[in-house]
Amino acid sequence: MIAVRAANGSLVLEGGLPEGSIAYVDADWVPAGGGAAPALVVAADGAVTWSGRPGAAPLGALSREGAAGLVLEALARAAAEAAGEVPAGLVSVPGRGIVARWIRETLGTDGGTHGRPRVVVDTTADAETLRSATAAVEDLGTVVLAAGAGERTISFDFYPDVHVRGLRILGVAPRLENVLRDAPADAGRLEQAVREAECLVRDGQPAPRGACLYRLEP
Amino acid sequence: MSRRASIAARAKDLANAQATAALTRLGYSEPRIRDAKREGWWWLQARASAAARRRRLLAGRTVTWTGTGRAELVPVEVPRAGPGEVTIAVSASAVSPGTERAQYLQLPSARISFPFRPGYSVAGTVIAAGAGVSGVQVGDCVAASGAPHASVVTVPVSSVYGVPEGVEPTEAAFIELGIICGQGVRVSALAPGESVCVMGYGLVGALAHRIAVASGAGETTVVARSRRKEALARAGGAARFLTLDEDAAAVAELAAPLVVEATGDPAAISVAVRAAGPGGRVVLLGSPRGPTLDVPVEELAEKGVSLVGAHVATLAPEARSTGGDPRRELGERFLELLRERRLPLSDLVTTVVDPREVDAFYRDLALGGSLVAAVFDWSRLPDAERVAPGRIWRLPSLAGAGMEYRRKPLPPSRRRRSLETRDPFADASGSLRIGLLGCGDIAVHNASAIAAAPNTKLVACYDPAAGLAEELAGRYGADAVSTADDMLERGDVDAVVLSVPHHLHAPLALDAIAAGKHVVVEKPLANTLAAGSEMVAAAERSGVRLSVCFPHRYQENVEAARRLVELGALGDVSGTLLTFFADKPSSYWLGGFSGRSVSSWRSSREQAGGGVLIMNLSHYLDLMRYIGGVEAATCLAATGLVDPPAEVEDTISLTLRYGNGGIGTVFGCAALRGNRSGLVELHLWGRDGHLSVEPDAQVYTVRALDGLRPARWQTFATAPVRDIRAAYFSRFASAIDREREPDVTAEDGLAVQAMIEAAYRSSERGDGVEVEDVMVAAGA
Repeated sequence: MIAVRAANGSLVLEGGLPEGSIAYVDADWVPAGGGAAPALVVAADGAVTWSGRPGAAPLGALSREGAAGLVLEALARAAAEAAGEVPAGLVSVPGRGIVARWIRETLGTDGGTHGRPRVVVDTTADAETLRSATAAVEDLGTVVLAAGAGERTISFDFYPDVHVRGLRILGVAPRLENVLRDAPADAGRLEQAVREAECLVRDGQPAPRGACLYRLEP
Repeated sequence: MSRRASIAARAKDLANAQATAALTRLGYSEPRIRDAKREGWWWLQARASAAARRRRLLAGRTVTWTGTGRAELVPVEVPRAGPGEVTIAVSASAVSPGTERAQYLQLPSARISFPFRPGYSVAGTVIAAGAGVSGVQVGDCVAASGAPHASVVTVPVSSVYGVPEGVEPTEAAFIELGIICGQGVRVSALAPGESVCVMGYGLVGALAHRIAVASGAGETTVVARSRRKEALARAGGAARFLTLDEDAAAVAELAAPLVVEATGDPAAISVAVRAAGPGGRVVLLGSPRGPTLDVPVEELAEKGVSLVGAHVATLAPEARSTGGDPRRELGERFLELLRERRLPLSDLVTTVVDPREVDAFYRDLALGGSLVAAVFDWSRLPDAERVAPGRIWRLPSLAGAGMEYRRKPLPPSRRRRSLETRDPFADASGSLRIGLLGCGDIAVHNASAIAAAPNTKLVACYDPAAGLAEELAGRYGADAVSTADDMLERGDVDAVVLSVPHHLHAPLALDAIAAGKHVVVEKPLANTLAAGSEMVAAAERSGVRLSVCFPHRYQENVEAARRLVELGALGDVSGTLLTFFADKPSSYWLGGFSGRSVSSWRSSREQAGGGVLIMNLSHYLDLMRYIGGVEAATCLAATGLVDPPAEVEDTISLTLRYGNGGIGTVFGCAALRGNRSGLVELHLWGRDGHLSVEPDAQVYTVRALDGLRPARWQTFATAPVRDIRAAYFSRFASAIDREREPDVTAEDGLAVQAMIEAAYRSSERGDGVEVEDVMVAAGA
């Protein structure tokens, strides 16, 4: 987990990363008020961990960006699949991180809906955002929870919306070992996309606002 | 809010405020204002709704919560069925313990506004069907969802379900819970043979579990807080029963494909997520109100678990979007499972409630416990209260005569209810010849009573003041004798009555006992416990009867109060309150009670043994024991002297701890200005009721007892009119004749004497005194 603290109007990411490790943090995983954020960490020896849990394999031929891209893209794909056959205009994906962006691309939506969405994809695992999502979705609708949460737990009242309005909250997460083992042939495309999106942040330094993916280095 | 709605809301507020002001001016207190406004509003609503339907009114009873923790059975009127409606004479209404408990206790997310009519669904017989109703006719046995606990309801036919033959109303009444739980199983998309874990085995959990089993579930596991309901779960088909405390690891390793959360506890959702396997579903069925503090988001995502809300309200939007009627399908399916005996329910209904005991029921429900399901059995109501024709021109009853004891300035109820009490003279037997020792103040009353009783005769009188004895003897045809020994030597005297100063009780009683005479002493037994103890022992040795004159026991209100306690109107007596106020003039202490026999013994500690406690309150100490069946174990007292002529206390505050754990308070003052005639209040109470014995015989009970209306203050006896002293002497004579113990035994007198002694010792020490200790010290 990455520690996030507010300082002088900025958010500072502190990973305490070992030498040679790099952490990738989706912008939606960073709590706005500070706290702990999950991260995808690629160590110097190529071992990948996500939210503290070790992934399977060394990178092999993959670059660090490629590995990160594979995991994040797998998460986005799982979320899009969970949204099911719902027409794109009825799916809301309000996040600003790279996972949310890729989900929108997969679903072919700009993220907005006309009226109440049938499905909302939450990419934050933040209680307040989840509350907004459950309030926004239509009766009997679905909220897809597509975020790395780490060991974080949240406090949430399921009664007023989820229980009474018959909502479904569906958690999705790709299994790291499967994702890295079955690396697709176009991993290069993902590597390129990550390189274009990532915003370099030094450990303990303020993170610029507006980025969709942070690359945190010691 | 629209302008029209805003105007309506303001008009309602204004009318409400005006009504409050008007009732306040009439002297109504807050609870009665609330009752009166509720009755007035319902009266208006019933007539408006009858007018709209052009139908007559029917009157019945309904359960109403009039405030937090206040449940009452009150009259209600409903219109007969209009178009598309059905009126049902209700046999049973189902209680959903979880929801109703949460609402009753005003738990978070279960807030309600008062007055509130709880209830889910009912079953009964159709007594009217409006135009356009098909498929249901008068006389049919039906179940109706969405109906409150009431003896008669009018509901839309769309919420009515025909009850198949063989299904009891007490089962069919659970139609709404059947729909709710059926919906839980339905949204779970249960696959045939799929394993199911049900968390919680309250009514919702049990029904959901059993419906799942009946719907083809595979192995089922029930998880609960304790093992209390394991037998029920096993009977319902559970293969495993786990508890959260003892089996936490096993629960976390369940990896269940389907978990039905039915506890209603938000914390259980986290446990349910952990119990679910990869790709598993967690159905939220138990209305988990409030935040779950530690939702394991990562685990939820990692396992790909889905949480599904299954509130019954979701059936409406589904029906709108699909055009189907899933609610009816679920209701009919529930009844069909009952008919096929595939859904066992009767073992879950552990409590059948008489609606008149509604207050007691909800108080018990609030405590939690092992209750799974309960029904109100409306057939227990008298027919006239259950369903009766309503009168459209009836004026509203605004008395607000609900729970409040102080109902003034309105006149007390004219509906006096007198319980059956025994006629003290009915079985009078024998003819007891009595000699009167002491012919002063109280002797006048005793002589009169002896003359009035059918089986006693005054034969001799003695008093050191010979004139007093001669006067009484002359009045009742008895002989005046010269000495006490002359009296005791007479063969025609069977018993003597001592109407003498307290310190003379023991010596005269011992002489009488030695002479083989039965003895009655005017209260108290003696001036000290030791003296009283000696008297009791002597009587026992000699085989004569010794009794203390406590005639208040024969007051009609006292006998009725004792009977009410015996019937269970109060439950175990847990409290008593006695206050006694009088303003005794100086002449009382220095001259005597009435001036008939001039003496100052009442002001002497040595001779009287004490003041207001032993002299006046001893009657009521006996009544508290007699009515309440309680015995004091500890006394803590403080005494005071306001009026200097006496050396005994004229004021006492006494706290009693009874042997059953109850508490009593006694406060007496014989020097309270403005109370020349004396003022007594005597109350007893327990968990189920409250008795006011004095000054106005009234009872409030939450129990349904014959002749009483539960949860209403009511007069239970008229003021005493008979000669209670004559009753006492007659009963004493009958006891002698039949060789049995008198109603007031020597031990009764000794018990009161022990309380008095303990109180005085306590006041001296400034600490509590055990009654048992003073008994032992006195050799009793």
